[in-house]
Amino acid sequence: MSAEVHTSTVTRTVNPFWYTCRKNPLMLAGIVVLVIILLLSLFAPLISSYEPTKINIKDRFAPPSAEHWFGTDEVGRDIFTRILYGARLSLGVGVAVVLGAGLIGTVIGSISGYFGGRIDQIIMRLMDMILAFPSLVLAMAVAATLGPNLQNAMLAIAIIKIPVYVRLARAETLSLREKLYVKAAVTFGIKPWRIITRHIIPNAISPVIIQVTLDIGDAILLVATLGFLGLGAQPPTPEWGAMISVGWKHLLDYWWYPTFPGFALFLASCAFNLIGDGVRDILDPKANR
Amino acid sequence: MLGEVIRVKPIIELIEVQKEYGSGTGRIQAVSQASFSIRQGETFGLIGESGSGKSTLAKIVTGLEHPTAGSILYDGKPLWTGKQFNRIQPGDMQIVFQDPQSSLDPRMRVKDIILEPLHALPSQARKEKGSEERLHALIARVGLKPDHLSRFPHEFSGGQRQRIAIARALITDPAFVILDEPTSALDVSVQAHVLNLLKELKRERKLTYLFISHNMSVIRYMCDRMAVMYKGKIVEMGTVSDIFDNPAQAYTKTLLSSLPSLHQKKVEPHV
Repeated sequence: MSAEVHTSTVTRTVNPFWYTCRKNPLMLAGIVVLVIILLLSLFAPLISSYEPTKINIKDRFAPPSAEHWFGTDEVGRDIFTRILYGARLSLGVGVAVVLGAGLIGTVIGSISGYFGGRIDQIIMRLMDMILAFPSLVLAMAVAATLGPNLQNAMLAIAIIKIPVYVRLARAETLSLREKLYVKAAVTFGIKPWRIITRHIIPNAISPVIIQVTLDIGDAILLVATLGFLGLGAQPPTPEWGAMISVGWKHLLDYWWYPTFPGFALFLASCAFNLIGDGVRDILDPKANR
Repeated sequence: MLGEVIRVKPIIELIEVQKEYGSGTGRIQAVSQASFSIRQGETFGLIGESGSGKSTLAKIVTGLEHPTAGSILYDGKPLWTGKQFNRIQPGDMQIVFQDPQSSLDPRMRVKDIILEPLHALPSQARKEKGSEERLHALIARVGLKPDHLSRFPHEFSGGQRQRIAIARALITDPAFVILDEPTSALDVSVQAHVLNLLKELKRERKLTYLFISHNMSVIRYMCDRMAVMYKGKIVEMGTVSDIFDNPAQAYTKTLLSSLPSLHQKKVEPHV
């Protein structure tokens, strides 16, 4: 233990990034996997000569081979290509939904905590209502009510993610409100909105960032879940959940069809969770000591 | 008594100000029946032990806590109507807090910290008072360098931080500044520098100070008149020399006896 502390004080001066990675190899693995997925999806048109939605009945259900690395599906589309394009969608949607929910939740939570009183009561009871539902059931209900498409699925996931951020930001705000620099700003006559955006949110942001990185993996899974249930992206969009949804019926005959999208989904959400854990260790040293 | 002869317009007047916390049987009188007025251009000292209610008074005057009874007139106009604080002229009254460690936002750069009070002003006045020349002149005056402006508060020592807080209070060109134990969190050597700076600034800018402290020698050095607070009440009030030479109250005598030999020497010839 003491030896470890000693070496850590020596290496800290070298390079913070490598120091962190050496201490947390799982986070490094997550970053590597994520970077690979990102590069593959960004350069998909260069890597694969197929088009994700081009139908080619002649080649249907071709097993993995040199031409089709992950095989083809029921209308002859190349599964590897569809996974690459699907990565753009899954990662993009996952990140966008969680960032959106984080931003909105932080603003609502800091307003709730800063003003207190009746506003606080109303906001927090609304959040309790959302939290009372199992998250997937609520997401399904919202998506089904608004109509099954990708935008509504995103909205549904954002709605179920917001209460966590509201609670986090509110708790931070309650302690920040008592800080002397906030009181000082009040005595200067600064408007509450400016105090919230300049003092409260910048000082309350680290737990929110931790939660965001932990939630992205979960959001990617939720997008795929809704897609799998037919409430998210609609075919022929190359979305992992929708691909698995069609593919699992063919699992026994054509094993590659649901397996590869499922594996991609597993890798992506796993990478984000590992990074999220790592970020939490960095930003919140109290948690692991 | 000597003070009563010279009638100068008071900048702030407290009339039977009272502050109660809690309700029912758990009621605590933090401040009761506090009345005094501070004249234009003087330094008024408020002294008392911790818990005597002096900081509560500062909070009431700056608008952080409302008084439960009594009234406060600033420039002849009431500061509080019920629980509503009337900011008559934003930036005209400023405060420097005791602990510069926590009164500066750790996530803001020094420049933004100093310019912050200007955001309470109308945009015309904000542009005028927030000009680069004014800012640089001000930070030079309080003893900071231009390259300090882009740094964060944690990069400074306690004394420097308090200079930042003083610059922040002066950016709006206030007439009245409340100094809530501005030096008690600082090293003794730094205290003297900051006190001298405050004295010089007062002379240059014709400021009026309400100086809150628990340190008798600091009050004696800084103030013209003073009030002694004990358990929420003002027990004695008068010019600093009067109170130091012949304290009327037993509590004031106890406070004076806490002073080291410096004061003793001065008194002995009289005895």
